[in-house]
Amino acid sequence: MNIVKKNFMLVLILSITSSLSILNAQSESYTIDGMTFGMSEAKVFQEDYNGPPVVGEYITMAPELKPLDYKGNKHHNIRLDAMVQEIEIAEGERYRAWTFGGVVPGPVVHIREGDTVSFTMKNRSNEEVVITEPINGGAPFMQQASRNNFRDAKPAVMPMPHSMDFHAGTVDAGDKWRTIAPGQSIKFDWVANYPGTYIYHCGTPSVLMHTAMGQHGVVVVDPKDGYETDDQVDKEYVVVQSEYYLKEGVGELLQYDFEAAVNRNPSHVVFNGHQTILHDQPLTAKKGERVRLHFSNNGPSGTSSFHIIGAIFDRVFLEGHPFNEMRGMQTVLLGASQSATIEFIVPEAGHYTLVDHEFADAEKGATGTLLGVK
Amino acid sequence: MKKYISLCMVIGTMFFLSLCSSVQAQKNMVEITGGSYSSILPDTKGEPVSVSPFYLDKYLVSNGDYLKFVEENPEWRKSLVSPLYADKDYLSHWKSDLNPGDGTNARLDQPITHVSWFAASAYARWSVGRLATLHEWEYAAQLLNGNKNGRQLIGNKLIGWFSAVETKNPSSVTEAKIKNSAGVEGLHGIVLEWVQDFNPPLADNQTLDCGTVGRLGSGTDTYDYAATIRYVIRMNMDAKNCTSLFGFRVAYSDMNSHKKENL
Repeated sequence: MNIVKKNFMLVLILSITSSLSILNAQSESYTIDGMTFGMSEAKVFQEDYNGPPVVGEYITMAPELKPLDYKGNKHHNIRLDAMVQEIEIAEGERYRAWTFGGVVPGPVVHIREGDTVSFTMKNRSNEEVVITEPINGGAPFMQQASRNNFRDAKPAVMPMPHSMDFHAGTVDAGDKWRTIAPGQSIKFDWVANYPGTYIYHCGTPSVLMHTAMGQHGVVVVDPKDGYETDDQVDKEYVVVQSEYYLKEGVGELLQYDFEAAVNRNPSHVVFNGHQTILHDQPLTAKKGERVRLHFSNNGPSGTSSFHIIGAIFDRVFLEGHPFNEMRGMQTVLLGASQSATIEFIVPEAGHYTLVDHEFADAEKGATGTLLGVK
Repeated sequence: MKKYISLCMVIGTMFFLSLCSSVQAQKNMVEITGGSYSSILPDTKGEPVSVSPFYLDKYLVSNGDYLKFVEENPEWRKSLVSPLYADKDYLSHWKSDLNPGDGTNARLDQPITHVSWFAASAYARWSVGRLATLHEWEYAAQLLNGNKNGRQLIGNKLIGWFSAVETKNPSSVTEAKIKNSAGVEGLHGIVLEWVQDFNPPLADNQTLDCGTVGRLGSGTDTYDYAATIRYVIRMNMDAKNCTSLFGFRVAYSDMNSHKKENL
């Protein structure tokens, strides 16, 4: 009886799986309202690759954003390898982060609405990858990482399956965002159909653990016709908020705190991955300048009530879409994986504190500085 | 043709070795009395999985154990292994074919890692045993002394452990902190272990998403939550993968299994 039941289940499962794989076999692309859908199937393969873990002309380390110096659309070949890196996240506090590209948050990818991205990722969690020495052929991010080793990054190993989920892409997640083993690589394409700032993250279970361990970043997609304030903007930065759930481990390194993560009780809430990075390396702008901030709350689980002490947001484009315009906001409330493109005028020389106005989060580290200079 | 010859040699060698090494293999085996447990796999959810009695090595296979294996089985030395059966990281932490190292990279008492599923299976055959099935291994692993709280505590520790595994310097196979109630040491907290069916048929990637951990019914049971992470890692590995995370131990169907297998 049991055997009959099991066989029936097996047949059922096989038929479901085969029908799913038919659905997966996509190839024809098509357009709706000028947007492109239908990408070819992702390729999973083995490659002998020891090159730079981050490749792409317009990929930088937050808060930097490289301006798009091309007209119209472009086909980007980008790479963000999954890898482990021992990093500092607050003074004297370190852990072995699971990362894209070696930092938390991962590198900032800058593209334009309508651009095509051919993305490659090698799961290098099983090898030590150095990001603090100059390496040829990498993204601008690689130079920034080697020049500015604020987190004192050291390569580490923790073989673990990983995957990549770009919120900026519209694809069959079961195909493109699939999990790959250590040593494997995946390649797939997507088109940025919508403008805005979108998070990317690892989607391998436990998703809570993988994202809390550091596997997240943002893609900034410029609107194809720009924002109406484009010619008034003087400075443009990227700030990412996220939580860590860490506790003391066996040695000197912190380790993942499951109870805290499940109960949404972060040990640290940070801007750009470190409790003090935005104080020690403040954003700067001159008095009277218009600053544009691509702000993203990468979670994994908390909300952010983003405010800048002494400033009012002149414009807020929710999720970064130019149609979602708000004016005169003191605080922007963002759920996990939401963003806003925020503009404000620096009123006078002085010290402006960026803060998550949920003060429990601010006191866990979610603050930063914008230095107004004369 | 060459392959067939070497295959015959392998089988011949295994036959011969199985006779000499059976005593050694039995020395540290522990009887796991049969029983049942509830697996997190969806096909068995809600129904206890019964496991027949079997024997399991008390310790993980060590670098020292594995050295004997490659001494007697040249085709499993790092310079000679077929790329069909192991990726380029096979024994990458060893100095050379017959030299695990000077103690800084691979001590003889540390668990063997950087071995593929194929290599682990070959070793187990050479030891006149086999790899445990997934259910056998998971059954043995959850035979933990104590009450539900103890189980939760171990689950909690294990989830933290996944974020801080000492892959470069694992503890000795005989110095495990966690034992199961039958006396098997180091099933948790040193390395992960290859099992026969590490990638069970239900483990289609379609089921791997942000809801997986919850759907596998581990919302309230921390041990099951940790087990889910273990399943997800294991099911995503390739049989050729050699990493610092995976080692193995040998299982046996019964005390006299080597006799039957030699017939």
